[in-house]
Amino acid sequence: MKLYSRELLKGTADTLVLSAFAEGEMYGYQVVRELDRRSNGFFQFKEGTLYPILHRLERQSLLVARWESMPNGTERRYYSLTALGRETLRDRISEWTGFASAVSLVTAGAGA
Amino acid sequence: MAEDFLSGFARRLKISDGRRDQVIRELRTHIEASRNDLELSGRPPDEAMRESLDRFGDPGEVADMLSVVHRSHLPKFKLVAIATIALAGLSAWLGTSHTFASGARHPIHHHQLHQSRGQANEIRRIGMRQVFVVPGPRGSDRARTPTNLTHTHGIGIVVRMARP
Repeated sequence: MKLYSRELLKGTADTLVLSAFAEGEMYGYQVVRELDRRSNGFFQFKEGTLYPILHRLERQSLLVARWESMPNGTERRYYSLTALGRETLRDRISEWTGFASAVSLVTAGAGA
Repeated sequence: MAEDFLSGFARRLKISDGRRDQVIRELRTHIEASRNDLELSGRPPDEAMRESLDRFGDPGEVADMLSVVHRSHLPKFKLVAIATIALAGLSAWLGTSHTFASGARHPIHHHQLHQSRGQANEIRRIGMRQVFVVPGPRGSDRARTPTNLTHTHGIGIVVRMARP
């Protein structure tokens, strides 16, 4: 069964990704796991598509990144919200909450 | 297997070499973390690697999306530098720093163009536009172009500022 349209996810992807950083910094793979955990596995997307979003948000100065070397020799690129990113996230959440409430109001009782 | 995957990805990535190396390092970490998780959940190494690559998705598609992200954002200082160089080049092309060109600040009519043709001490062709350089009083410098250049064959007037 198709759970949601690709367009719907596309329109909310930035907000979802920014939300993952609300509690602190994370590296890409962690973001994938976090979105999976918070949504109880609802969001299914190819993991590689996260990186263009992360890099774009970084370019827009909503995220900032830093490298960290791990004891096993690997390196992780950690991202965190900037002040602008936090402000944008607040705005997006407010916008989404209002939008979702309005859609619920309109669609309530209209289900066939 | 992962290195072949990343090599194919790198070839498709149209960004600077330095940036490409960073992206590859980041994605290698991702694939390794994913493979480790799958192995910890009991998958055999080969199967874990195959599944982690499958979860990653089409490398070409991701490379194209990243190429667009990194191509479409020039640093602000570069944009300013490019704009400055372009303006300097335009100024030099017009031939004098005492000529002020600013598009349709003061729309003019055809009869003014014909009048200007008679007064012009210089006629220039700037791209598709024919420009009459006419003398003007000090401080009166401005470029004037017809409101609809396509209907007037791209003719404009540049009034040269009198030298102090």
